[in-house]
Amino acid sequence: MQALGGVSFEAETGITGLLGPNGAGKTTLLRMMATVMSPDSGSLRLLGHDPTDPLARTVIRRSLGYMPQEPGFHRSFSAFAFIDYVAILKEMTDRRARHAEVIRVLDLVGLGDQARKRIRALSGGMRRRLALAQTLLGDPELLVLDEPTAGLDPEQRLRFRELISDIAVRQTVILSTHQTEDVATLCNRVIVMDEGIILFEGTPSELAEIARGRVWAAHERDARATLSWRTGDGMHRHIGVAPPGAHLIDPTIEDAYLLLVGHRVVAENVA
Amino acid sequence: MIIVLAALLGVALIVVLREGSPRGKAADSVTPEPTLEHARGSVVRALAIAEGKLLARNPLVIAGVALSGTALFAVGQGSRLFLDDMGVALMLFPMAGMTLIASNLAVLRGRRDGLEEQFGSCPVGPTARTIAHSLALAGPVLYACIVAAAWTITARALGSIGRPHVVELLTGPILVACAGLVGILLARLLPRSAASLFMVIAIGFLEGALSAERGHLKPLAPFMPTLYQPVEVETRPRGWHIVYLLGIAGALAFGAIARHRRGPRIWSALGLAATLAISAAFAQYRAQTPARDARAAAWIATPEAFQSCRHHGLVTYCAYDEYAELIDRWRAPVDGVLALVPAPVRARPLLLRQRLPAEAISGMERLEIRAALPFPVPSAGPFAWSDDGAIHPDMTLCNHSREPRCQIVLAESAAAWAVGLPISRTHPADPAAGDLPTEKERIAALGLMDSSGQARAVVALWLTLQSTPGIRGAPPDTRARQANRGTTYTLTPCQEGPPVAWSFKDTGYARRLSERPAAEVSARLASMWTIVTDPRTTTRQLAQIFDLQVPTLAMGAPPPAFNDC
Repeated sequence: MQALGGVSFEAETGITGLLGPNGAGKTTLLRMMATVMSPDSGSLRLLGHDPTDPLARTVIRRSLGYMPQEPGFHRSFSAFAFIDYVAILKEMTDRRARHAEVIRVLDLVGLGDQARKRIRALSGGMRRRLALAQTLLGDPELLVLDEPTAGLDPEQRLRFRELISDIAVRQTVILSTHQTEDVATLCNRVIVMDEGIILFEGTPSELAEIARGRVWAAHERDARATLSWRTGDGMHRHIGVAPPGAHLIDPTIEDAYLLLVGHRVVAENVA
Repeated sequence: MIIVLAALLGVALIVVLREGSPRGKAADSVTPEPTLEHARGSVVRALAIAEGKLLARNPLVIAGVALSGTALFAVGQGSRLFLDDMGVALMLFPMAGMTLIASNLAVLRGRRDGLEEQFGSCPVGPTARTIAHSLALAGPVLYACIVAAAWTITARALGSIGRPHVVELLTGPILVACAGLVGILLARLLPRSAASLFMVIAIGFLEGALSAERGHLKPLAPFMPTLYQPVEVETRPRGWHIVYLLGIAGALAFGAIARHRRGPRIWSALGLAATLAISAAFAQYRAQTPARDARAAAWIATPEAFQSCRHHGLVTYCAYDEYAELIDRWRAPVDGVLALVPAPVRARPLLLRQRLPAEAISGMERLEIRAALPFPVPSAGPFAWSDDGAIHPDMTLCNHSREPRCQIVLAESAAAWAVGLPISRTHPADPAAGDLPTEKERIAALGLMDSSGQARAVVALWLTLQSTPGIRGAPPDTRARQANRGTTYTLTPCQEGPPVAWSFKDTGYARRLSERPAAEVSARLASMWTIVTDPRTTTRQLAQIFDLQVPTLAMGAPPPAFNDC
């Protein structure tokens, strides 16, 4: 089974968001970018290097921070000890400099005062921040974050966004998410993927523009719409064909996203 | 058969666990480690320090240290360090087992905690991590060295003789390292935590099978149990054995590295280590030659050819070189007896020659050595009087914790010699001519001499009581102890077998006599020495000479608590 096909894009400084339904190939793409998986065919260049070349792969890894979808932890370690251990794996050998860097990244994610606490005693949100902290070690050029806001409450998500947006001033951040809200508020570029191919690549506003003229508000539900749902004000929001008596409204990123991958969503709902 | 079964069990286990491991299949999707992975020494060192601290604090390793330390000090407390050093490695087996499991779990920590992907994106790859895990074993190895050194110092302080062989002492720590490397290799080949436990059990089986082996394979057992016979009789070449273990350690380490980093250099190193181990194993096998067996037999049968002697007056003390420091300990009780006997007795030359104990000869595992021994084998029997008129201390006499026994046995022997008790037990039959001993003769040779009723027995007993400074301070009641024979009493402070059995009456008379001033008794005995040591003089006559009352039963009653064994 082919997870990815014909995917080609370039990412620069700033945040690039990967949007797509489950099984779209986001995680596969990010794992390839994190060099923990190699493509069966085709070519991949990261930071100007070919990750299939062993030496180049090591060079890439020196400039890479990766946070998987479900980050792991040595729960018996303290937050400091865990980040310190990862720092060694990132070739930080000078003890003093390494410890200073560990303290820096822990402060950056707001865990400076929790450094001596065992990971098992940290909350889920704190652990997510700890996972982010290990990606920030050594100020890598490229940050690959797989659904970093998954499982966070709104307040924690806001803090996360604040943190990532600060980082992205200097670094290239590629993150995958299900949250169109994250993309709208964080990303300067967005890639919509489905079934292993790229459906859209551009800015969030360009994404929203795709749906311009195809999002309607009506009093009644219309079966011909690609997607239709009742909103809080009692009106029905239609995407696709205009129902009778409907009027055009400003589209959002979510509308465009649903327009692009709506057939999958419908199929999944039917299933 | 046990080895084959253990091997089959291990292979089957690996196959079963691999088939049932969904995570193992998932790991295949991870990009293989580059063959030219960059693993800088400083990174490996930093990681090794981090892993070393974790391993050194690991509860399993700490428990292993406690178990091995306890076993070593409780069970393996040595008395001859040049021989008992072999037992150190065996006593470190619990620690080695724990290190195997701990190192295995340390390698699998990332996998267990779902960190393989995160770590996989770091520049330091599994090869460097494997090397770091291997180097981290320095902690447990250091613990093993400390335990072995502490054992040596303590044993030496308690009076053990000789010095342990450094190579033999190092065998234990190297085995701990080997065990840790087995854990690492196992984790790289079969990433299942439970596998390490099965591996420890399998190694236990293998160790048991090889060490129980009476043939040429015995030296291949990783841990060598302490043998009763001295090192000269032990045929394991310790130098080759440590090379064998180092070869195994190297093969394990390079095998673990080769799991992720293959190349000519790794294969060459692996091949070299394996060749070293096999060559050393073969050298151990070849070391057990007939010439070596013949030399060991000669060492037992003709001790005079291998011993050094020291002369003190007319007393000659001869001991094997390793035991030479025992001579000073033998002197005190012998001198004590000689100081109490008349000058003509002191003018008789006395020889103390060390011999291998009879039980060591009968329990010897190398049948080739036993076959090369003459009959009867000259040995240190459990009796005060020997087959040649000399006194024959054995290898354990006067080692630490045996001090009371040492003094009593030697004083008894010297006293028996002084009063003329030795009976020639040289066998009249000549086995070379097919003249086998009769059953009666054989029993007589093994049985205790019955000296009851002879005055000289009481004199010998009195001399023993007066010349055992190590136990002289003990209350009189604690000096005598009931022996297993029921009707006789012995001065042996423990029940391991009386060196001389004395009758109840003789013991009682000797104790009556010991209540008198020693100088007075000594002077009187000296003046009547010929009479009191005549075999025909009875204890009743001696009692009349000294005006001794017939002892009561209570005088021979066993003491309430006295056990120096």
